[in-house]
Amino acid sequence: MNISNKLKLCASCPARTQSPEPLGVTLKTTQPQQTKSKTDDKIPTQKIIKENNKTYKMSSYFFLQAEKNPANADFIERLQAYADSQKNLVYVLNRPLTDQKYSYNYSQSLIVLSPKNKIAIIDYGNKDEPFENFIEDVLEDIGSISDKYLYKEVIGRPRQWRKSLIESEIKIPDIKSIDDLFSSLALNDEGDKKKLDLLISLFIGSINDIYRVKEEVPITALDKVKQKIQLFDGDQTRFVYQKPDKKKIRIQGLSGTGKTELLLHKLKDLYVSDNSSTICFTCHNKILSDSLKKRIPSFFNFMKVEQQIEWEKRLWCVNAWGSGSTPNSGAYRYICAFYSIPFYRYSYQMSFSKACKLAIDDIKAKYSDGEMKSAFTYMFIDESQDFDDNFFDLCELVTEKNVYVAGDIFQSIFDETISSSIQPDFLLGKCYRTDPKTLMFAHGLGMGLFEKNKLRWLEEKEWKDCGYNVIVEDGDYILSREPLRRFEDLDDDFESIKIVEIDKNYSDTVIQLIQEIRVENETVQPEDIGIILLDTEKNIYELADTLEIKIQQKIGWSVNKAYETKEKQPNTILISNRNNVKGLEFPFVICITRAIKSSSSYRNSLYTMLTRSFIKSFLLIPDNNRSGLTETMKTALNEIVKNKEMVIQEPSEKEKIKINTSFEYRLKKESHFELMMEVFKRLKVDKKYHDKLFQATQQFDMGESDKETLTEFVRDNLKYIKD
Amino acid sequence: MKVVVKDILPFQEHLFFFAIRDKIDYTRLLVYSARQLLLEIEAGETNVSSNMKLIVDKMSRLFFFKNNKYFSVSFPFTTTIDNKNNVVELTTYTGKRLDSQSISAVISIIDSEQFKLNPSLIDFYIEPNGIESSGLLLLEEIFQFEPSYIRYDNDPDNEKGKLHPLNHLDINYSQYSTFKFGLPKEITSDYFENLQNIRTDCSFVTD
Repeated sequence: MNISNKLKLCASCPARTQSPEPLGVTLKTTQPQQTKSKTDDKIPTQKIIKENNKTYKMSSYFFLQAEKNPANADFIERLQAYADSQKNLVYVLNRPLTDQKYSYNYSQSLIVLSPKNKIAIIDYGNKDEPFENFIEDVLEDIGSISDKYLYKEVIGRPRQWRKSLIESEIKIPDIKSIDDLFSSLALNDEGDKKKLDLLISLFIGSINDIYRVKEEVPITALDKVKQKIQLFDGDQTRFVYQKPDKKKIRIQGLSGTGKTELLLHKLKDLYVSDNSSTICFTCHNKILSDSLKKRIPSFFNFMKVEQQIEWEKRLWCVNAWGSGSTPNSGAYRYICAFYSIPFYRYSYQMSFSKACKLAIDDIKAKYSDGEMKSAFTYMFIDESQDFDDNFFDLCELVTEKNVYVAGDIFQSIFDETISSSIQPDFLLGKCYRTDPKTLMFAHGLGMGLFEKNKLRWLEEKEWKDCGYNVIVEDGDYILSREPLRRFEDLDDDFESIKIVEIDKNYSDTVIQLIQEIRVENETVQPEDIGIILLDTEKNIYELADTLEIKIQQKIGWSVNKAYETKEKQPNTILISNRNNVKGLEFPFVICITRAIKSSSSYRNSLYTMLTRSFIKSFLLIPDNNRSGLTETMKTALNEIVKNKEMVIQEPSEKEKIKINTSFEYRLKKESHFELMMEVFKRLKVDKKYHDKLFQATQQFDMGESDKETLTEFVRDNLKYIKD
Repeated sequence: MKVVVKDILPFQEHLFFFAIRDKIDYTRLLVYSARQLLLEIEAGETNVSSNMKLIVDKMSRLFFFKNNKYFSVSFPFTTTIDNKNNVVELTTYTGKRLDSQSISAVISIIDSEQFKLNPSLIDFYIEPNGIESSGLLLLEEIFQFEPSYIRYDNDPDNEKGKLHPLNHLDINYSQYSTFKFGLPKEITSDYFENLQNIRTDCSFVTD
């Protein structure tokens, strides 16, 4: 690292660390930069610069739910500094978070939770008897929560885990350093560690399905990841337990950051705590809303919610639009019925955005002089990147209390406005679904970073918002991601993403791959694998039909073609085109393509589909010079697997301008009709040809194509049109 | 005369041998058969005990054979075969093409909950849902076809004199229109085919 770069990094950090922290009240008072220099005096200067540069995002390692006061502030700050620098999760609580019905009489104690370490309950008030009572009360309550969530069968009674997993003798003045504290608390036995993770999850309400987690310690890679006990990180805990201070709460992150799960936790909280509330949970497409609708009851069940779900009285889980014949079939549909305003159906002239705008106008006009009732108390919108502001405005208008909006940080990796978009209230940096190596390669491939002409470039802040650690060195961006707890039990050099070159036919290569997966993972089930066909050409459906037969014949598994059934089915292997996999994830994903194309919609699918796996993604592509697969891509993949980082040369200013102008990506915001009209305008197409070209796009099933593709199509066909 | 025979693999039998009770069942059978005709299927080491046969000879019918059960329906599509007798193209008489995509589109409609509740295509015309558009036009046409369902039954369990003879033909599928023709003895699959081929000699009712 040369000096100028060092200075650059230095200069950027104070602004970052001192800027108002958007993520939570508790953090506002902390000043990580100061504490770091106080505690970590062993770390060399350069390291501190690097670490401090990351502080802004590092809060996902630390969560605080306790009043800071002079007696504990120093200790808490040292804990946070430790969590951030060691990348270990640390939670500091004054009470268990899971069930708000319990109350405690003693407030001068801290519960320090961190995976792989005993739970420390620390008294800083020096009042022996009240403190003893506090411990008894907390353990009794955790014991009863553990019984409620059926954890008792696995972790046993409090008397059993109390001895090995709880430490309550420590006093703050005796703690020399946080390192010493945690080394005295460290656990060695794998069984104990597992029980401890379960206990932590009870304290913070990150309840795991005990049947998934199971009692025994897993052996295969698949089981290790499947049975990993999931814990909320700092950001997620804040989202679930913090009271909002405004009406619309935006939560943003890359796909796979656990947004939907968090929404469900919040939904459960609101449904249970506010008995008269009506809640609508919605998203753009039906396959996802159907799967959510099935997920809610099972989620409520394992969260032991005692209330019944009153569908279509208190809770709606529907896609956004809905159909004319059934008022409860969509959020917009229901709103139209509720306020008795006209419902508009999809047509080439009617986009969803326009329909919402008309609804807003109609409602406002109708209730201009009277009091308007609210259609819902709360609304949850998932996959918000599929909508534009008109829908959010409509939701805000008809909702009494809060609208929770969760979405990907960008509509697509080609979205032009990543950082200039409205600052979300919660920014989730870590992608929990996918191994960081898979995500990095998928980003790189999607944005064309391994090619001579890059298709997309992110600036430093944008990279950081996407959860990257960025070091700029001599015009090179060194990009890496934080490791994830979910994958910590896998081998360090585990190949989470692999390119498979097809040298015989497509279907046999897939069969062979499935057989290999089965050999490596004895416990693999059909539903653990998803096969995604990335291309849009008609022949993918033929391939899917052939695969369906061969998989049944040679593997003996049933097949579910998602574009026929529109749902995920148990005990079947899923085959889908790129349109029906939203929100789905699989341990193994097999993506098949004929060639890497350069259109933005293709690249974006490539990126999203590769990141649908939580163990391993395979990219199947022909072994020939037309497939667009290059040596550079393969080398980049090897580097990512080996070094867990990618080094990308920053494009020159001139190149950046070229990159930015070549993509005006406005997926789904406009109807096919509107897009075509713009294309006609841009290419100055005579009006008399409009109809012919319009029909041609329909015949070629291009109703979903983006502007770029349509422009190309119109340009190519224009010359053949005769008067 | 075009004759195309296709194996039906054991795990596919449920797609072809099920009770046909309405036009939607007929549609399902038709599109699964079209898919089977278009795909290259190698039985390999799989034990096959049933098959289907397309016969185009002025008439165009599909025959299905499994043990001593045979049945047949109309297959009103234009079939193009190559010199190796592989089906390379299937279109309706108005020129709409049946391919893997449009077949899937048909299946996605007729198997959807929405269609099961209300068997009408109207909502599918209005809903924005990419793939279904190619299936809609196809379905419209299929719904106008005459299924001409005939089944040969050899059913010792339900035999009941002349009311339900051991060997008989069931003609049509709906409860309100189906009727039987008794047969004096077992018939072969060839006889069953001949019965429905207007280019071969007729059979006579001799009662």
